[in-house]
Amino acid sequence: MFAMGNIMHADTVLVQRAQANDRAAFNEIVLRYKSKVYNYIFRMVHSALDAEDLTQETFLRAYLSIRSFQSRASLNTWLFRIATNLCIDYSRKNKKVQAMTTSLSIEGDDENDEVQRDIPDVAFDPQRLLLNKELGTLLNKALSELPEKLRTVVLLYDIEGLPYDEISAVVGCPLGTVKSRLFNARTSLREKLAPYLNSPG
Amino acid sequence: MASQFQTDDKACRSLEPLLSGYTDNLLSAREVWEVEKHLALCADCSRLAQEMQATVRMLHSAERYDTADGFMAKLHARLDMAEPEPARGAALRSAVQDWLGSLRTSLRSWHAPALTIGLAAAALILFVRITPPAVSVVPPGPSVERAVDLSRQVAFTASNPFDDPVAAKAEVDSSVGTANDGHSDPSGVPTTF
Repeated sequence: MFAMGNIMHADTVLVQRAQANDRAAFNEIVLRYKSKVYNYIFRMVHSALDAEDLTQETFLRAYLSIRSFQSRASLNTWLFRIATNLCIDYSRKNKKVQAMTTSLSIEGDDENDEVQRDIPDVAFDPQRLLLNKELGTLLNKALSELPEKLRTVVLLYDIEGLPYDEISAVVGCPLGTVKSRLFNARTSLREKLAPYLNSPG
Repeated sequence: MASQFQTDDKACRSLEPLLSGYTDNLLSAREVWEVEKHLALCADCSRLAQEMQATVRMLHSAERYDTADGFMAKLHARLDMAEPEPARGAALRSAVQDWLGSLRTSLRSWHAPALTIGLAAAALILFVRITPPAVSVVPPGPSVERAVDLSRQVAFTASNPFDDPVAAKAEVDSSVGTANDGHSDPSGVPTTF
């Protein structure tokens, strides 16, 4: 808790300095958040190149409007909100292309089929098996097949570790909607991954 | 009190939405107790709970991705070409200042005298149009003064136990006429008390 308090305080100081045209302070903000933002965007758009561009765009927009940022909101929430809006725009523009790619990868991707056959059906510890890249691929595939609204919430909660109230601010939905989307997302993932999750007894 | 969760389909369906919160340890003590009581009796729900927990563990341990080398250099190149927008308040202030500046400049130019004369004429017209008409204060009319006097007379008469105040009041009302407020009938007897 103390550490979190320090981080928040440092964020506020960095924002104030960045608002006063301190590029070094803004640089510090980017270094602090770029991995989180990129990881989130990459899992939303499934393209390293586009994720890189959108992450750049997120920080460019943050830089341009940093003076309008009000410190009563969390910097984390603000950056994820910018990133989420960019992902939504990206998704709208690429909807047709994305749908085609998904259907092709589901129907004809031999590599994915092979991955599924290779998953051992014996007892396993998921954490240990995550070291196995193939299980990671399965998880990514299951995540990418989630509807965008569910994927946003599960990524922000389970992967980026944002609390419910911050997610509610990022996606602009009531807390109850966030909780129900999280439950639906997890249920969907569980159903898809169930064959690989069963432990013996 | 009957348990919220029984070992039937309905009970299983009631439990399912709680499994997410149960996995995150976000349920109340009572809910945890109810969930665990059901899980101890229901093998299907117990399996679902284990799968949900395993799914969440997978998500928590998922591989993380990071930006490529050169991300910062590329970003700085874009930031160099960009200029941060001023804050909203500052933008408004700046716009007002710009407008005042341009107005000042235009007033200093060759058509300033014409503008001044025009503005003065407009101000004069407005002054003439807006000036309110003289309002005459009407002093209290004689009927009002008379009513006050007669009320005093009625009060005086009423204080005399040998006089009839009702008769006196009727006499006053009939003589005032205009002081009748609608609560009296023509005989002078108040219709309301």
